[in-house]
Amino acid sequence: MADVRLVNLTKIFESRGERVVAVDHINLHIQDKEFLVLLGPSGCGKTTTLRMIAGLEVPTEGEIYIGGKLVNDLHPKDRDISMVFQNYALYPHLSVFDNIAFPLKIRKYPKEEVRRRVEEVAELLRIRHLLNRKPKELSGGEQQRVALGRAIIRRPKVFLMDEPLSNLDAKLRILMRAELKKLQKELGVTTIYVTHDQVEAMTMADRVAVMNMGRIMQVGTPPELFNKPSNIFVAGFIGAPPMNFFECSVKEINGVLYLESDVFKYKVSSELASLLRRVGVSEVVIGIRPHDVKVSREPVENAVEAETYVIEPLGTETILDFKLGADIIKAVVPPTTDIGPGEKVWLIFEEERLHIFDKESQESIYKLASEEV
Amino acid sequence: MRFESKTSNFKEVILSALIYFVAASLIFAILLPIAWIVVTSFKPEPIVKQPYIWVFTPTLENYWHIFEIRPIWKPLFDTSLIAVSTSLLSLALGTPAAYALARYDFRGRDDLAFWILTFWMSPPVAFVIPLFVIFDQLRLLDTYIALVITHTLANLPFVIWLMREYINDVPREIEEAALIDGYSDLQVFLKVTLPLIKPGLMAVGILAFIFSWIEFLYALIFTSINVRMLTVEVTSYWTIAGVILGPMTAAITISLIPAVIFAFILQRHIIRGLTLGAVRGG
Repeated sequence: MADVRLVNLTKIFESRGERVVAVDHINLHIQDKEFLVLLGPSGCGKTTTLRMIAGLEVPTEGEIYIGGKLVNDLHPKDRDISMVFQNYALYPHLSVFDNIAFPLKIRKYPKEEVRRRVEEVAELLRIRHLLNRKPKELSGGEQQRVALGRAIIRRPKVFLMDEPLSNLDAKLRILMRAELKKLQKELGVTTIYVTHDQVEAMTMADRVAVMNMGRIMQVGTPPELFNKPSNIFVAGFIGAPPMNFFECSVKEINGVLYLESDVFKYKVSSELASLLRRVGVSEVVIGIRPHDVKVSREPVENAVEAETYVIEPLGTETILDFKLGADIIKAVVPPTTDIGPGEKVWLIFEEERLHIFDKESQESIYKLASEEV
Repeated sequence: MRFESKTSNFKEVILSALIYFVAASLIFAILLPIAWIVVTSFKPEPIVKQPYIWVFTPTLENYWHIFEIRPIWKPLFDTSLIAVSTSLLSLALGTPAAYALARYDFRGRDDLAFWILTFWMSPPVAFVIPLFVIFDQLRLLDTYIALVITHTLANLPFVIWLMREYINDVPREIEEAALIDGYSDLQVFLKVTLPLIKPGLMAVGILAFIFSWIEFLYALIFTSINVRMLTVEVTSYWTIAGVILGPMTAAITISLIPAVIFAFILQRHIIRGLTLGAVRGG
């Protein structure tokens, strides 16, 4: 069992004179037995990072440590890792049994032990009845289990998983999500899991590293990322429906600070005002999650007037879209709401629910303030 | 609606009739000379030079001639040996080259691949004189080695290109999985990639075999007494006294057999190979 440490890890792809920085000086420490998810949109460098840890890509710069040992120059087979690929990458010419047994057979384990362990793993993954089949005779979910079986049979130091659930249908994905999480905890193996699906990341991870354009934007537990996003990218990427954003200027009138957008003026409390003054920003982006927007039919002080635009009932809750100047703002309300289209309402933004970011650096002002101290 | 579908049906019928007509004409044009050769090989001496006679009592006298009087066992053996050696050597050299071109990213890779292909496009006769001089210096004229080397060189461009396409069809992740599971790069190539491209190896190997089997120019120039290839042997029935047509057609018929057998057995593989990987993931 082992921790994984990435130091200044960088990958630059060069083809036909074009330089693409896929991974840009990332630093990350994954604890022993931890389930860490690399989350980000496609092309953010998460898969390249995983492939560098696996030894399938050579880093342009930086170091990779597994269990405290520098592995940069180690061949993949010597890193004591196993990997589950997005398309499973089963050996099509081998039976399920031989696929799962493959890593052990290469390492010349005694035949009896190979048989015993394959049967154990097959039992755990409930694929014992499939052992004599060929991969092409299996369904997607079954192939996925075989790929998992091949990964866990050797008890490696680290599991690497590259979007292993993305080829499954929605129902099976939800089922496998929970199973995979349980399996990881049972086996207690450090796991690095790549996905672009924020729900997968939030539900499975001990910690999530959100990546964008080759950089790590924030590392934290799922609640941390959700409640205290440290920049606009993380705030917008995590949560569904996504956070509402408005660009505002910080204005002072008669000693009181206001956040002023094209369509509304929001009075801030003295605590927030002093924070804003301390950080010294004049242009900000404020964000509020749809679940945090309160809707009132009566005028309320410091609330924003808006008109209902679209109503999207989801069953367990209802999404209301409001027109606010040129912007659309979403609010999630209980399904019992009787607000109709075109109705005039007041939207209440509670200050403790607001996320405020410096427009220029895109960073959260809470983070900027804490860095200043 | 129904009217429309009727017209399109009518169009389809016309189109497929046209396609069948063209295909049938082509097959007829290609098969006629071959049929004529095979039929002639069974004709008795008096009518052997009368191509319009298609109905007669077949005789094996021409075959008796080529196996008993002037046996073609030696050319048959030589041709088989050279074709098999060429085929195996082409695969042994071409497949690793194809693997490198498919899997390793190095500067000028595509240029190198194209450069290799240009040899396939160049006329074989361009290489005859330099190769003749080289083999002469090395005292390799009229040896098996000279012909195996030449045929292998001639085969390599298409062996490399076809094998590269087969290798490209193997998902990279399968090889990467094997690397992680514990194989070295060489083991991955030998134990994972090779078994997966077996159909390609067979198809390309057979194409290389057939190329060598029917090759004439190099065989004529580089060999004479010690090594006798069927294609050259067949021309030896063209004597001062005229063409000895019966035994000649019998020899040609015999030389056609392996190509026909292979073509039938591996029809599917060969077609797959000739599409140059156009159909992916099949």
